[in-house]
Order: sequence, then structure tokens, then C-alpha cells
Amino acid sequence: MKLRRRETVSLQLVTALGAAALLFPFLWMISASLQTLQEVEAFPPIWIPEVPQWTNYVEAVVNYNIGHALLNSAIVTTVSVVGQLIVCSLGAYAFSRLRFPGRDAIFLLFLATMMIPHYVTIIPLYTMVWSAGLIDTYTALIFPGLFSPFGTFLLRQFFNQIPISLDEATLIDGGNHWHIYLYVIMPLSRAGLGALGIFSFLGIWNTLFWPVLVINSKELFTLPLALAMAQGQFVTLIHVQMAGSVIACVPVIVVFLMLQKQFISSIALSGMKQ
Amino acid sequence: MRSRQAQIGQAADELAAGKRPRMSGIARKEAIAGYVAISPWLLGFLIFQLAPILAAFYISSTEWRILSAPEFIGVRNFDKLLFKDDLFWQSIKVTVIYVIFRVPVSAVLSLALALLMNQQLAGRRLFRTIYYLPAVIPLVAVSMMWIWIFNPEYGVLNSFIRLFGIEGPQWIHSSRWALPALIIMSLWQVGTGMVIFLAGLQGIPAHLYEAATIDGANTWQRFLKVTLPMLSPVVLFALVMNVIGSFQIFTQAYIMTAGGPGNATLFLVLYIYRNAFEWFHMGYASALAWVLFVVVLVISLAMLRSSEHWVHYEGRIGGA
Repeated sequence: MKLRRRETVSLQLVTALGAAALLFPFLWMISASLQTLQEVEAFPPIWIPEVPQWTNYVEAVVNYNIGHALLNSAIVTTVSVVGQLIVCSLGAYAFSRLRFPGRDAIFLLFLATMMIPHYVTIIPLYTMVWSAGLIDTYTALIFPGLFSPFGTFLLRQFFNQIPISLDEATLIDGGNHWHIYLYVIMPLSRAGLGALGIFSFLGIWNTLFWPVLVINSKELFTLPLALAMAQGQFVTLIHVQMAGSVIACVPVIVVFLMLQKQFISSIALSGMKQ
Repeated sequence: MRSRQAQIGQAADELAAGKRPRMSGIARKEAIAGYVAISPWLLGFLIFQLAPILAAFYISSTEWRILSAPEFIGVRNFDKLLFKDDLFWQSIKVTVIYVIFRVPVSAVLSLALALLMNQQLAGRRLFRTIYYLPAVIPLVAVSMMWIWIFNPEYGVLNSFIRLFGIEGPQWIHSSRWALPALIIMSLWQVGTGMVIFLAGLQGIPAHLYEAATIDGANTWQRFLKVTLPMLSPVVLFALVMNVIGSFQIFTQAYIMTAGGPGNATLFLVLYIYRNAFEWFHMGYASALAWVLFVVVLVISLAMLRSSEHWVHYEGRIGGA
């Protein structure tokens, strides 16, 4: 659609104003993270701190345990995402490509359970983890998330679009089914794997509910949990809290800016976030 | 084609010769590969998905305080929540109000943003990044940020309102304004919807707009007669996903309001959390979780049903 000049200018203005409004809370968070407590509580609000208080960040890392939590989140998220990609792609490959007795029955059962929300299964899951003595372990944080039904479903749909003649060609050339998986399906599904990877990265990095349940000790806090606990403990220390929040946001924002295209296609593909 | 009789005859011959119909070597290899490939996922599915679902079904019919054995009480949990528990109805009310306001408003906003981003504007990619950014950062950080934005005394929001000589509301500290505050905050994250709509808009073939223009349609008519119908499947998808997600709101209320003040933000999932993990009423909490499932399922099905009247699918003749 071609627009007239005046329309273009006004649309451009609306876009810029909207972007400014959305950036506003961000800017405030960053500015507050560098202020003294007096400056944060001043009226009218101060936007540029007199002397940037970098010590807020030190305090967040030390008192809030944010440094340790950052490391925990990195470990848990990396292992979960990589594990999920392996487990789900193997499952999806079997569903999409390999014929074996019982496959369709399993798939039907799987579809039937997909609509059931996480909160239905979380109570039995918690009691399982608890009675297995796995409270306060990395295993509890990582393991139950590896078998994502959604991920398997997404990849199966993706694999189904790859022409089956490629499989046949591999078999004729003397390859077996594992060659097909490794050299045909996986390389041709980079976009799908990327989408699932980003989707689960966001989900695991940001989640609070499950860590709240299975982690008690400070040493194993993930970032959202550490922030939530600090929020309850140091209610009035806004400036330090904002420093902690900035630290939690930075890794996601960096990854987002680096992989923007994949993020966008992952959302368009999966269509949901929380 | 061989006759049925001949087939039966052959099978009988094979049986007589001691042969059983079996898989060929190639098919057996494929089946073995299939079982191997699926087994890690299948084990996980059985242990972490199917077994918990069956267990949740049973637990919801028990009284279970986790330390003692569960005691079977039939449908008494459901009887209690439907007829004797005011807090349950409060949580339903609060959650439904949240969904009713959040879903349509965010749909309209994200559609508007997507239409903007679909124009040839300068800095389009930068703006798209900015609009989408709030949707990727951790909800806990978002919540902490907004606690201070909503602070009645020195929060930026009320400081801004004060410029007009008006004293702003108490926001999350007021039982009247806490729910609207969380709805406003949720609109900050419209980027997800925008991206979905934008992908939909870019899939609309340009020749439809050209044809409409030749027929003399103006911008508004093109939007109503081309854009909206062509986008309607995407709209349906985005609405259903948003309803499912919105019903499960938890983190914001957990961090910002703890369900208060006066249960004004006691969302259903928060109430499930309290019953299960603060009061250890595992049976009752499971019953509540099944209610969440049924409510979301019924609403999603109703939306899909209604879509027959407003969603336009390409290639369907005479569709409304």
C-alpha cells in the first residue's frame, strides 16, 4: 500500500511515540539501578543520577546472591535446552519417519494429553520429586523438563515437511535410519530446532513456578527465584532490586538481539510464550 | 487382484507349513530403530506426563495432606469448591475479569502495531525490536519493575499523573485498582501478538489489494474486506493462545500483590498454588487444577465453534 506523505509522517510519529512509551519502564529501571535510595524516592522523579552508583550492582551480586543465581540459571538452561533438543528430535523422528507397531496409538495418547495444563500435573510431579529425595537438586530443576510434549509435536510437524524421497535415497546408498536422522533430518530442520531452542530457552530462563517448589537452598536458586526471594527480603531497597532485575534481563536481551530473526520466526511458529 | 479365497488359502498353506506371517527384515530394522529413537521421550512421557495425569485424577478424589496417606472421598472436593468455597469463586471471578479485559485489548493493540510495522516506515526494524523487547524479558524482573512504577508515592506513573494536578490511585495497594493495574501492565507485553499478526499480514497476497484498489476500494474498505478476512485464521489462533495463557497468570500476582489486597488478585493458579504448597491440601488443589483445565477447554472449544461464523478460510466457497 502506498501512503501519502502526510499520512506517512503521522504514522511515523505514532510509531516513535509508542516505542518511547514502551521503552519508558526500561529506562526507568536502568536509571533507578544507578541511583541512591534518596534519588529513587525523590519527587519529581530524577532520571539522571548525580553520580552513577555502580555499587548497587555489587550489592545485588553479593547480598542478593545474583552472581550465583546467574551461574545456576546458565547451567540449568543450557543443559535443559540441549537435552530437550536431543530427546524431542529423536522422538519426533520416530513419530514422523519410522513405522513400528503401536506408534499411532502412542501418538493418539500423546495428542490427548497435550491440552492438559501444566498445573494439573505439577502436584503429582512435585510429590514424585519429593519422595525420590530430589528436592534441592539440579536434577529436579532439569529432568522433568527434558521430555517436552510441545517440543516433540512441533518438531514432528517440521520433519513431516521434509520429502521422504531423501530418506529412500539414503537407504539405497547403503545408509541406515540413524544416518537419515543425523545427515538428512537434523541438518534440514535447523529452523525448527532453532525455534524450539529459543522457545525453551525463554521458558526455562524465565520460569518461577517450578523452581519455587523444588528449590529451598540459596546455593541452587535460579535468577527468577533469587529475584523473587530478594524482593520479599529487601522490600525497600528499590535501587538494588532494579540492579538485580537489569542483571536478569541482560542475558536474554543479548541473546535476543543476536538471534532476532530466529526469535521472531519462533514466536510466529509456536505462537505462544507463557 | 487376488480373490479373498485365494488369500485365505495361501495363509492356510503357510500356517500348515509352520510359517507365521512376519515382518520382513527391512521392516523389522525400521521398527527397532523406531523403538530406540522414541524410548527416551516415551519414558519421559510416561513418567512425567501420563502418570502424573492419572495420579492427578485420583488425587483430586482424595483428602491428602502429603504426610499421611491419601483418603478417598469421591467427589467431595468438587462439591466443596462448587458450593462451599467463596475463595474459589473469587479466584474464578478475578481470573475471568483479567482474561475478558486483557485478551481483546491486547489483540486490538497488537493488530494496530502489526499494521504499523507493515508500512514502509523509516527504522521499521528498530521499532519492531523495541516493541517486541518487553515480551522476552523475565516476568519476575518485569513485575519488580512495575511494583515501583505503580508505587503510589514516588512511582513514575503517579508522578506523571500529578503533573496534571490529580492524585493517582493506590494501584496495586488498593483492592479496587490492583486488578486493573495488572491488566495495564500485561499490555506492555503486546509484542508477541504483534509478531504473530505481522507474519499473518505478510502472508496476504498483494494482488488482492491491487484488485480491490482497481475496484475503487479506499484504505478503510481494503482493511475491512481484504485484511481482516484474510487475517482471521491468525486472529483466531492468537486469541485462543492468549486465552489459554491468560488463564494461567501466576508470576505477577505472586510477586506484586500476593493475591491481595483483600483477594482482589487471587487468580486461579495462585489459589491452586496456595492450596497445594502453602496449606498442603493436595487433593483439593488437584480438583481446582482440573477445573482450570475444563474451563480453558470449554472456552477454547466455544471459540473454535464460533469461528465458523467469522473466520475466512481460503478456498472455501460461500463461507461467511
